[in-house]
Amino acid sequence: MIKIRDLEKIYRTEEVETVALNKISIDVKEGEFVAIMGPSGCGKSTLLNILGLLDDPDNGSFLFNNIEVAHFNERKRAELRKHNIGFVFQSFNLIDELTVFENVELPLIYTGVKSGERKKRVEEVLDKMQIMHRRNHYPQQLSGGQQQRVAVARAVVNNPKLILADEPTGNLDSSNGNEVMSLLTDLNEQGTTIIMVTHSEHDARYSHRIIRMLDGQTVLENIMV
Amino acid sequence: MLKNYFKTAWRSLRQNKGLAFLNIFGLAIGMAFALLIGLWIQYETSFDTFHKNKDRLAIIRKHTKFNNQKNTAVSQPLPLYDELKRNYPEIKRLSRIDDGTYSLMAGNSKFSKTGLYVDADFLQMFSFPLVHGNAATALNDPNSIVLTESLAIALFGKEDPIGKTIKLDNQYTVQVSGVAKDVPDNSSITFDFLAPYAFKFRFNRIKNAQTQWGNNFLMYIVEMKEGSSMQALSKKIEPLVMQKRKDGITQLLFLQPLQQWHLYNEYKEWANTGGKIEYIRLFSIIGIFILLIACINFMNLSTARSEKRAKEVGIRKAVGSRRIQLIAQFLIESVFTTFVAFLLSILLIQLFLPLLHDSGFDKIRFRFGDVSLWASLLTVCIITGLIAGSYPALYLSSFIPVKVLKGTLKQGVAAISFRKALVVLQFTISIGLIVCTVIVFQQIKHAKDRNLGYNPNNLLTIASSNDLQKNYEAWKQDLLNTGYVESVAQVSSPLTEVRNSWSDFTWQGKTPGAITSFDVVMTDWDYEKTAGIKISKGRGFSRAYKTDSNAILINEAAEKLIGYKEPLGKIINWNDEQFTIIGVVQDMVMRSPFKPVSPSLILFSNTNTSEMLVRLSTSADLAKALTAIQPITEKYNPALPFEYKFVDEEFGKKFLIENQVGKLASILAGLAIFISCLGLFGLTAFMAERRTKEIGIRKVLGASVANLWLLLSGEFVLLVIIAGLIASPLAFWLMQDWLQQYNYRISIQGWVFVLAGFLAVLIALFTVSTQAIKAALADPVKSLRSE
Ligand SMILES: Nc1ncnc2c1ncn2[C@@H]1O[C@H](COP(=O)(O)OP(=O)(O)O)[C@@H](O)[C@H]1O
Ligand SMILES: [Mg+2]
Repeated sequence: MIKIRDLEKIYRTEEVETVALNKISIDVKEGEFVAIMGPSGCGKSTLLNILGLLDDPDNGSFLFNNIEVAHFNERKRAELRKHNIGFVFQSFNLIDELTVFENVELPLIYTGVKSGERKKRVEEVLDKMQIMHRRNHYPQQLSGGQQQRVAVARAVVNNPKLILADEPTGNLDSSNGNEVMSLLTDLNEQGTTIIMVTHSEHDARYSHRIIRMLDGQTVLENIMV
Repeated sequence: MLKNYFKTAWRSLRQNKGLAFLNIFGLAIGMAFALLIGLWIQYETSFDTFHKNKDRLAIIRKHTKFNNQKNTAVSQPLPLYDELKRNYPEIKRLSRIDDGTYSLMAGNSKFSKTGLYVDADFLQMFSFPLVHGNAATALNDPNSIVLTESLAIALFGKEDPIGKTIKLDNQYTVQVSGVAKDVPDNSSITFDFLAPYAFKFRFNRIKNAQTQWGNNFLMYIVEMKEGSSMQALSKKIEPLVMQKRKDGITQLLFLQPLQQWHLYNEYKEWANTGGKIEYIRLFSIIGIFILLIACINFMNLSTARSEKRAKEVGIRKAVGSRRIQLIAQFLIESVFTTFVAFLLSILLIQLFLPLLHDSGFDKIRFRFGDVSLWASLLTVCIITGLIAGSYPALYLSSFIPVKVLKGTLKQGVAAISFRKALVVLQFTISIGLIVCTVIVFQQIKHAKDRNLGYNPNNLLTIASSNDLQKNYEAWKQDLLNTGYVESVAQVSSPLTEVRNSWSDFTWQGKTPGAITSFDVVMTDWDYEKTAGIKISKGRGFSRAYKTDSNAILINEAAEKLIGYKEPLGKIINWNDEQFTIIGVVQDMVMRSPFKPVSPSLILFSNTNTSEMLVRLSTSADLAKALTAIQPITEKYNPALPFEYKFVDEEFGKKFLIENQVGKLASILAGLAIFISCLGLFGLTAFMAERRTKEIGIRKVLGASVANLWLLLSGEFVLLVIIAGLIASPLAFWLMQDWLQQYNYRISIQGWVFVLAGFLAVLIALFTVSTQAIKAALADPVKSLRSE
């Protein structure tokens, strides 16, 4: 599903040049659950953002379902992204002005799903995430765990083929963290490809494969059994 | 999608109530005044546009040259009428217009009203529709009269007025032949009644004038034949008066389209220099500026808040929104906000209108039923929303989701400099307006404080009439006997007007061929005493001298023009009459207080008077004096209701436009600075909030409240000072240009700019300080723990 080759990303500021990704090559097959680990600043988030088409690489190739997407323009990327990719962030990133229901509904609005259908699908996924009773609350009225469940709900509502999660448990205590991890595992078992950045060896054990990064490169791959 | 945008917009407003209030309120005030100015402009430009024939109507004007000065006048001689009627086929219709105030009596009701003596064509030339009577024939009979609806009701109540008789000036009986709709507010031609000009031919003065090409007292309006060129006719009639006069005096006739009359009625050196149109231009610019200031607030507060909005942008982008969709979202949001402000502004307009009553807005209404008005307002509203939202939309939508979601987004230097530039722009406009206001008022005060050459206080003018002229001596004596009246005089024109300007004077030593003109006042005894005119040489008219019927007083300007070193006893000739100069009086400001005084002559005559001057004694109680004067005047002047004018008030009316401009400018200046401060307030509140942690740390490290206050306010003060430096030369240039129209004017002084700048700094500092000090006083432990 994902095939990147010699991908480079360099951040240039006035004084320094940071090589965030240094000719990195990775493959991810459909249905896989991959964890990415590595010390802070090694380029994990950068990689994830490029995979999610939020950012573009400076060099290298990125095949998404065998289509070269490295140099897609803004419109094409938004198009591809909204139909195929869901995001879960460490800091939840919910819109404060919208309710739980409306936050989850947002991706469906951008993909042009009709209102009746939207309601059905949002309620379905809220039910699955067990936060249906909170549907009319605003994010600030929820606990961290609940907020992250909403974020996961929002990531999956469009039935994306790929979910990208950047330290999804980073801001959660262990019981809430485990809950989110089991949600992700369930999704994976139903066929969704998941790529997750994490600092926790415990969380990484939920995955099929761990990619370890250092200074913008992969240094080791562990296949889990 | 739209629903989602509105939801976000509405909740974002609700969750940031303070900011939303500042935004909407500022925008609403700005819009309210921009709309008011828009309504005013609409009103002023609508003058004389309601005539069906408006494109074919023109007023005849004349360029003249006297005393080596080029002037442009509307008054024309009487014989011009027959000449134009007879020899100019391109003229379809033509009317003389002579206005005056007359007394009308019917039964028990009597009124003093303004009427126009016009030709029979008048009602067909103009669209003053008749509700009774026939426009084609109503003015055919010399003894007919056409009333306005309200005058007809005042005179006859509910009865049918047609065929009823009215006594005019207690002497002439005329018959009502028509009733016209009341003249609309936006008409340059106004009247309470119309009467045929033919009526006037019973007077010797008018009969004589039929051959006098140099006797200018009538206004003329022509209606062109369809398809004839106004310009061509204007050129064709140019030399007409000069050909008839044959005395070498420069008199050039031309046509001015009627529609330009209201807005372009000023001429200088024979060139049209505009008039009210200047104010329309000025205030359109100011209106746009005010709106711009309010829009800037919107932009500033929106972008200042952008760090918060940035997260939303990031998320929306991550879930698939395109940039263009975000731009649309933010624009819709700002149009929505603008619309809320617009509704509020309509409320504010209703609130402001009564307050603007004496600033030229008394005729302006917000007509709720006017669909085209709503349509144009809505357009303005949407455009305002788009402008106000443009920068925030482009700026916010440009955020890169990766950065904002990671929280690494810091407001760029560019965004912050842009905000500062906007603040500078706001205060430039505000300070500029303050400077303009001060200078306008200085100029008004300058002209008001001018030595008038007479004393306008405690002085009444009462219109004369045949009765009052007949009974003059008895009336005068009775008034003096009341003890409230110090002195009475009869005179040919009130002190604040010039009604006679004669050109045929000669004297020994006059340069041959020199063309001169003198303002002429005719009066008998006690004029100088009553008006409070100071005599600088010689004496005034006196009963002690039998020869005074041929005596003449000249003013200092006339003395200079005539050039006699020792004027007393010298002779001035007028046609075959001889006048002996017996005194020189100080220059009296009878025309514009902004212009030099024209050479004037005071002639002795008790037959050509039309006004009575009554000086009350300074100790007299005004109310008591008037109650004493009224019955005496009514006794000797039974045809007219007792009406009087205060000379000082009449003089004050010469400042009508200047006062309106001054008041409006001061309101707008206050408004500009208020809206600017509203924005500044929001901005500092926001900055202080953003810098809480920094302020906390500085405090822990030992910064005093004063240090912090300086830190937070200093920057804004600097911005305002920069604004002052930009505004000063612009305002100087603008006001220098404005002052050019006045001969008698102030010179702009430097302190005005310093004062305006200082005032702006002070107000800005006050605005900023409330927030800065609040932030500086906050408990640092709390702000640091919140991390
Ligand atoms: N917008 C940016 N500008 C400059 N440098 C950046 C930017 N984003 C990330 N970096 C740098 O790129 C490197 C990789 O960052 P990141 O992918 O966030 O690391 P990780 O998520 O593994 O901690 C770091 O050295 C970081 O400082
Ligand atoms: Mg990271």
